[in-house]
Amino acid sequence: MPEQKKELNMNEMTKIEEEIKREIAATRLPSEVWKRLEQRMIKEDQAFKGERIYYTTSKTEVGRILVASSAEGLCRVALPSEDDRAFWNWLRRRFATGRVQESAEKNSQSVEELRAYFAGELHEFDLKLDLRATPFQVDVLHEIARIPFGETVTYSHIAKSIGKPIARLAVGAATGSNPIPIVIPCHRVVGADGRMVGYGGGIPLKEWLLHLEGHAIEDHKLVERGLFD
Amino acid sequence: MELGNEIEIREEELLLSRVALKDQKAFEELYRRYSPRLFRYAQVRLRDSHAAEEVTQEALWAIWQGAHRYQGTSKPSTWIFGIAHHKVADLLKKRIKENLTQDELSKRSKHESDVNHAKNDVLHAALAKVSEPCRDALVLSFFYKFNYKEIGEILGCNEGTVKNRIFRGKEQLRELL
Repeated sequence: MPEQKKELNMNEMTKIEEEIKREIAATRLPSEVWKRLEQRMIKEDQAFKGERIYYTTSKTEVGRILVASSAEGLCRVALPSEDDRAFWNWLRRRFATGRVQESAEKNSQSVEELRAYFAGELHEFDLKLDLRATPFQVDVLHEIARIPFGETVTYSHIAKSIGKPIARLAVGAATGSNPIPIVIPCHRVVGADGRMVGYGGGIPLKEWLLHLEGHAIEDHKLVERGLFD
Repeated sequence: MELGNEIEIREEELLLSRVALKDQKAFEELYRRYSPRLFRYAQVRLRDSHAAEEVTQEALWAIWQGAHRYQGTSKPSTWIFGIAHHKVADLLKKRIKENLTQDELSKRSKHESDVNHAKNDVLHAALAKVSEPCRDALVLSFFYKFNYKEIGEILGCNEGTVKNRIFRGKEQLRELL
């Protein structure tokens, strides 16, 4: 008899759990709560004096990209292969006390130019940039920004250009940490023998981009070399 | 752990990361996911829809304000319910200070026109009679499927205590039903 009683109670428990599931599904917090929270958020936002960052997403020829800009200009582009978390962690590290806000409008020029570039309709960007990087990275990225559409250079070439000829590996690392790929064309930097080496957006994308810029690639290696070497 | 669950955790970690940067769009999504669950939790704990509404609002505001403190050492859901638990506990403490007796509270909740409560009156009446620490653990286990370790994180006690409370709570519930 006690066994049977226990059995009944177990059924009762399952029934309870199902009831509970239905209950939670049927629960709606009154919409006034959201309105009240929204009011508080508006007030808080109006009092905010710090830095604001605007982000948006866009579908392009190569997939979905995420872009962010500050009042200074475009500060971050995340290519499709990049994990969204890396994008947000990057923003959190650079703008720890800032506020982000979704805004297609504030990023419209960047998005338009990027889409046009991927579609093969634009060769040179005309965007204001807010480059958030260490002084060494900034040196390297400035040098990379000078490589024109259709050209490639090697890591050691960049190292020589910034006056640190033995810093080839450090140049590679700085290139890898490029927060604004495509616009700062780190895909135009290749290995000494024209090899693809690394790319934050993935080697297939690097090859796709170099194809777009008129290069022939075989076995992950440039067939023709750029003028800089 | 189920794959779906794992994806949900990653998504919610990302949402909290964005909320830490005061991304209102991310907070709206978090609100959409959590407000019914948190409200129901507060309702069951407090048996007073009006108070539950306020507690839920305060918990959500605390999430908006404190998301940058989420370290990723526990699941987002555990962290979020931990905040709700604290808000409920604060209110219960305040009630004791204000000398509101359990009788008065029961009377108050009887007047409540909450339809969901009515459907499950027997269960909720029984749950209300389960002693407080056991009830809390029981609700988190039954209603929200948190495991012992997670409940421990929410309530700020160890797994053994949680196990014990759920066991005793079930015993009490069995007798009451």
